[in-house]
Amino acid sequence: MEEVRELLREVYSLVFSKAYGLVEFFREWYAWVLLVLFLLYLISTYNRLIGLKNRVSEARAGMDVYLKQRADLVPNLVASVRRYMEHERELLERITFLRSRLLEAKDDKEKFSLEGELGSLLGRLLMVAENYPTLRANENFLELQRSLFEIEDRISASRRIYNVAVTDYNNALEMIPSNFIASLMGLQKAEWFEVEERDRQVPNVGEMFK
Amino acid sequence: MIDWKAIERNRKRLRFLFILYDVLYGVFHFLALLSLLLFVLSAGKGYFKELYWYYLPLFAAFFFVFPAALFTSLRDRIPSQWWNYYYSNALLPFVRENLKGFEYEYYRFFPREEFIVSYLFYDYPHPAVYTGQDYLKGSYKGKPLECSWIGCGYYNWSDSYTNIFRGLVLKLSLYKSVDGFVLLYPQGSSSLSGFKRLSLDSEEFNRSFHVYSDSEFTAFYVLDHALMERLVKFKRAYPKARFSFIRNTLYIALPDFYLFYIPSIDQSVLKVEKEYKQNLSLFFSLLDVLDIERMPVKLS
Repeated sequence: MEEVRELLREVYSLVFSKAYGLVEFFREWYAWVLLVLFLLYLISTYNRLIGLKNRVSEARAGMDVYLKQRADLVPNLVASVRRYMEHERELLERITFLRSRLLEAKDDKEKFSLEGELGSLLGRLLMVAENYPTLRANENFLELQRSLFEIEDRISASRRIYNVAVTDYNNALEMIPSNFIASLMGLQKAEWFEVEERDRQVPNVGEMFK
Repeated sequence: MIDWKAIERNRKRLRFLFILYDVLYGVFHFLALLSLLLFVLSAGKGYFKELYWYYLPLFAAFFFVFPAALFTSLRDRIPSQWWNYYYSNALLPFVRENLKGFEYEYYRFFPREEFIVSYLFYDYPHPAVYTGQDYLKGSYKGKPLECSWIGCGYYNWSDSYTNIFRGLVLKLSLYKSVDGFVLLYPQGSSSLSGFKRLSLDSEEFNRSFHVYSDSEFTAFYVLDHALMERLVKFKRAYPKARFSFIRNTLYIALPDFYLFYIPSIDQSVLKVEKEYKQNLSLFFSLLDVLDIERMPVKLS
């Protein structure tokens, strides 16, 4: 018991001396300057992290607009080609299935993966459509094809903006010392929207419209 | 086939005439001044008993002024004679021979208003002095293009002339129509006030160009990875190049670059053909670097 008391006394004196040292420290003017600088750093880092997070959300919202436009185009596209492409029933069903799955996707990872696959299959559909001369003569299909190409370009641009925003945001979350503040704020890393190299191979527009 | 030797002979003939008229002008001018001096110095000295002798130097001066004026006029006509002769006998045939299918006009150039709205030199928005030449229009590898040599500048407060740009401006029509503009200025150019410099997803591209746009999306939409790669290659081949994407047009500025020129009467024309060919070869090799066939230019 005596030993415990001795230990407590030592701890108390240590804490007291440290606290006293802190009080002494704040009697100096430069201590307040340091404190103000530290607070300013905290505020600026907090604001930067919030800015980066908002930029990711903004880029994501911009991308979602074009992804939705593409998803809206799918039923029309499938309907216009179904009559001509009886042999590609499986491909068309997969596209329709992916579109419906997209609406139910829970997290970004799943959604991006589905979007990537959908983009790839639509590209394949347009490639396959080359083999159907009657389809290529269909004005409605050609119009949908043009719209799809334009939307694909827009998706590609917005995806790159999103990925740049995510890179900046994730870097800030991982780099010292902003990672400490980020963990205190409870910020989570964002998902990249990666597209496989084969999915990027969009048919040559010039060739298709010759 | 252009007979460059005949052109050179004609240049020498015109140059001889130029010097001859210049000398004759000098001689008559001198005689007129001398006569006038004689008249002034002899006034009131009583050298001449007869009055007509006294006025003779004045008449002589009057007489010498006319041939001096005539030879000046003849001399001053020669450079324009040379220009017209060279243009119709050397330059136009050369262009027809080497740029088949191209429309060419030496005295035509992009209007000042178009140069201003191209935003190629947004940092100097209103050039006070603006001139140009060498308008070329045609298609290369099936893609339409237009270009023209432009020289512009301004006078600053101390009335000294500052050059903004002297070089070739190239214009291509894009099939991607964008709402807004994207400017690519070489590294080291002054930053544009009112615009935030954009960073794209290619480190090398960001190192090569300062990118400005009224919208981040427009910049990413226009500059896909393949185009960025080609622009970086172009930059390596011609480091001072500037690009601007305005709505559905791509403008390229190549400072200190020219295709053709009309040599002065003092300059031999025998090496000019080689120089023209070198310039054309460099011009088309730059277009090849840009891979104009894969450029998003309008399908002809």
